[in-house]
Amino acid sequence: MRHTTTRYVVVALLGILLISLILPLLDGLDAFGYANERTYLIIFQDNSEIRNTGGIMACMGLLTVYHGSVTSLQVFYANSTYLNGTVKVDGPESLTKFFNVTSARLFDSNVQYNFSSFAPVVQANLYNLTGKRVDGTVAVDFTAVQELMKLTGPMIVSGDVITSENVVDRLHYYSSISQGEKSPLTDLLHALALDIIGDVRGSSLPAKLAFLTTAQQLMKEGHLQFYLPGNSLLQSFESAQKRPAGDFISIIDANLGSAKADFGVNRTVSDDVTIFADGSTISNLTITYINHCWWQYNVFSTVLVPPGAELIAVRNSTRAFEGPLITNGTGFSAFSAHLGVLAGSTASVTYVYKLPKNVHGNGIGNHYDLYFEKQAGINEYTLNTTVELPQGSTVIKTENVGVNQTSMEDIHAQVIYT
Amino acid sequence: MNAKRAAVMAVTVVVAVGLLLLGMQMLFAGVDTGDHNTYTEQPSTIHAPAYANATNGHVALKVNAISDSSDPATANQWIKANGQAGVYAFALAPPPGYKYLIANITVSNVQQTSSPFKYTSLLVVAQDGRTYYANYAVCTGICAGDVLKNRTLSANFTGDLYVLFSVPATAEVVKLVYASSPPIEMALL
Repeated sequence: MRHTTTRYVVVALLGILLISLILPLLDGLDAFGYANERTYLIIFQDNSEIRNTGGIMACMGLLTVYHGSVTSLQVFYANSTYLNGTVKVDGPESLTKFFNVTSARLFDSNVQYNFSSFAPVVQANLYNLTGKRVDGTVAVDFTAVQELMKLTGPMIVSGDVITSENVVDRLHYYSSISQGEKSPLTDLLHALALDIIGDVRGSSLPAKLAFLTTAQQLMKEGHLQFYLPGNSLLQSFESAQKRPAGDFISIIDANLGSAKADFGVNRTVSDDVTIFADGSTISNLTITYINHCWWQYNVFSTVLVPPGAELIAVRNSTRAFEGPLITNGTGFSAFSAHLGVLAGSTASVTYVYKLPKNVHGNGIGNHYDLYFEKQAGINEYTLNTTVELPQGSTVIKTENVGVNQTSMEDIHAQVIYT
Repeated sequence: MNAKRAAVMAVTVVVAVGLLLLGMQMLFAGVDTGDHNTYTEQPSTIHAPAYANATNGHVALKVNAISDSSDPATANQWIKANGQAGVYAFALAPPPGYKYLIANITVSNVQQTSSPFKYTSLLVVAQDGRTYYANYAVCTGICAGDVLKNRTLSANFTGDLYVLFSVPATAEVVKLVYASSPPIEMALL
């Protein structure tokens, strides 16, 4: 009897294991159109012109897959009639209040603080404007195209040799001469997208794994972003903002008419945190922009910090400073300002703010955790952090606290002390 | 007992496959899938010594100078031409691990009729044979229209062009090639 029960339990466990493996696999196959035809909105973001979700939307495409093959790919230029429709913008408050706007053209509407908030909105707007329904959205920026081309090798498009070294500049050039419905930019992106997909499909297993590794890295760095509602296998790839408890800083920049400047602008973030004996904490956050371009860099910069943070002081050495505007949203407070950085010069803005007490964690000793979230599309930044503890404290452990930490990803800094 | 053994085997197989895939992924993370074009000289290639005039019967080219964009004089020339070219503003900020080389080239149409010319067919060849195609070019006046937009040189056209190449910081370029038919190969050393 006992033997039979054990057998049933083992069979049941095996069944559960099998189902847990098969169901996501079926979901995965479904995403590639094995069950039904699937259509995805592909957004090509030019991250040399940074916007909230990773870059100005240079083009959008509709990719249809069936039985694992691409059955159609249409690419539309930003200024085409297709994408030029006006859509309602009802947030974030920092933008709508600062600029007093309630609408934007579709290609200019990526104003949410992250892609996972923007994707469902753009899908709905696309449907309202064009009647097209999509099963998910993928955002690819120009850095991602460049990195993928390091794996595919050079491609010949319209007689030009496109390489990982020149692809971004070819895209920029074609963008600058594009106008109206049909543009050389859409032709180039169409050809590149199909070539890259074809290369991935036709590659050897080692090459496929290299593509997968590159894609995972690009996702971690925010150059490749997915929104695939209802797909359990691919949900792990979605670019959802999962913010753990603790202190955090998220800087969201939007280039304001400064052309393709952002690859020529370096950002350094310095955060000096002082924790007092009564548990209160003051953060002294400085964002420094080094503009290597030969023209002025204008940016609308928003800093998201823990909700309830109280701004004490602002200092700036930038040009045309306007702000700060303080707004609040679900799970954050936001400080926003418009600033300009002269050609070939350095400028900075400093926010001094008091943090709410709930940013400290408990456990063995006292915990201070700072999560620095890199904006999607930004290639690299430098982080300097210092944490001054209450007098008489003893440090048990520190992680990622220090100066000149150059990173292409988020950084988690931590101090455990008694 | 058999069921237990089967369960252990199933779990072992799943874990082993997982580890194998993970291992392969790590192993192949740096797989070289062919991002490099290596220069192959064609029999019909026209050769020119350093900084001399060369022609393929349609266009004539002469490299006047090639220098790093970090050189202030080079950068100033680029900025001036870029500002006047009226296409897109290009920041001289190479990506990490790279440098920008700017070649000043005189381009002439040796035909009495218009000739096609694509600056995107210009490439530099490094000492190790790797090739780097042009990223962008700037020039002013009629040159901007002919060379950049129309990709055609009008009859008897002559103009100076600044062509930018992104190459690894350690690369030393030895040749500049115009990949036409026939190709023109100009020594740089």
